Amino acid sequence: MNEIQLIQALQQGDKNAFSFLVQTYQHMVFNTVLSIVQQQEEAEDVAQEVFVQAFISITKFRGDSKISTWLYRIAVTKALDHQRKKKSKKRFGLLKNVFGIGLQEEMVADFYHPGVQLENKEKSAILFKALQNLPSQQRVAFTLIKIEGLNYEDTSIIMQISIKAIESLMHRAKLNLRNQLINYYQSNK
Amino acid sequence: MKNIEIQIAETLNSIDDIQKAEAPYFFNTRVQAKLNQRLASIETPWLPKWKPIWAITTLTILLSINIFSVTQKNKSKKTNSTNNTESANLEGFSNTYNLNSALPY
Repeated sequence: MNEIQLIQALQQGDKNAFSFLVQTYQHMVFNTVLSIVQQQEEAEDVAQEVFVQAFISITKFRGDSKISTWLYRIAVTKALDHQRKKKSKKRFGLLKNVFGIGLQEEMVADFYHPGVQLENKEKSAILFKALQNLPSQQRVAFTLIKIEGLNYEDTSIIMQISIKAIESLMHRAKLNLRNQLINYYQSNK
Repeated sequence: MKNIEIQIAETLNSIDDIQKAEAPYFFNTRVQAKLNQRLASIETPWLPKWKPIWAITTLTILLSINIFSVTQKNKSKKTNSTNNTESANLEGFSNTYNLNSALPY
């Protein structure tokens, strides 16, 4: 089944085509979402939402980009939305703690990406933690290029900005990460 | 400082050979179940989804109706009591000057 046939079948509400779509792109979507959400169960939930959203809004898909590009866009948007909601919940939790309503401050567990080499686990956990503090655009560019392994051109198509802008985002992301790591290692000497 | 520089470089390079994470087993089945659930809820749009804001709105409306009715009742009581005192005064006046009795002519 080629892309055009797949899109047409999906637009007709074909459940088998949908199953084929999930089978084909599940790892790609899950890896992207997991790298942003950084929590296995939550990432699975968000990734499921990505496919449900894709099925529901397939009629709006004009086919002017690849399905993978379109899915990447939905995945990134959903993952960032999830993070935003989570952050605002955390802020509310902190506020509750200030007023003595909350029970205990939530334990922040380090995230270990399953695809990282064993000897790099600890270091990558520190990097993933630093990634959470990047502005969303820098974070998405860094995730797509360094973790998803996409090139600058594909990333620019997904993010709908120029390659130059991607280069600038990557440069600033690396600088930001570097500054955070300097602070981290200086305080943990 | 040199030690920190090495650590930073190692940390930044720690994801260089990263493998892609794979979706969990039965992911497809779970997505299908979620989709069916979502489609079922879309197909019955007449059934409103309960939201906390509705409870708050209903409570506010009920409270305002109650407050309105209580204040109205108090108002009518007040006007009744003023009417009663006025009529008592008039009665007293008419009794004093014997205005209530039928005229002899």
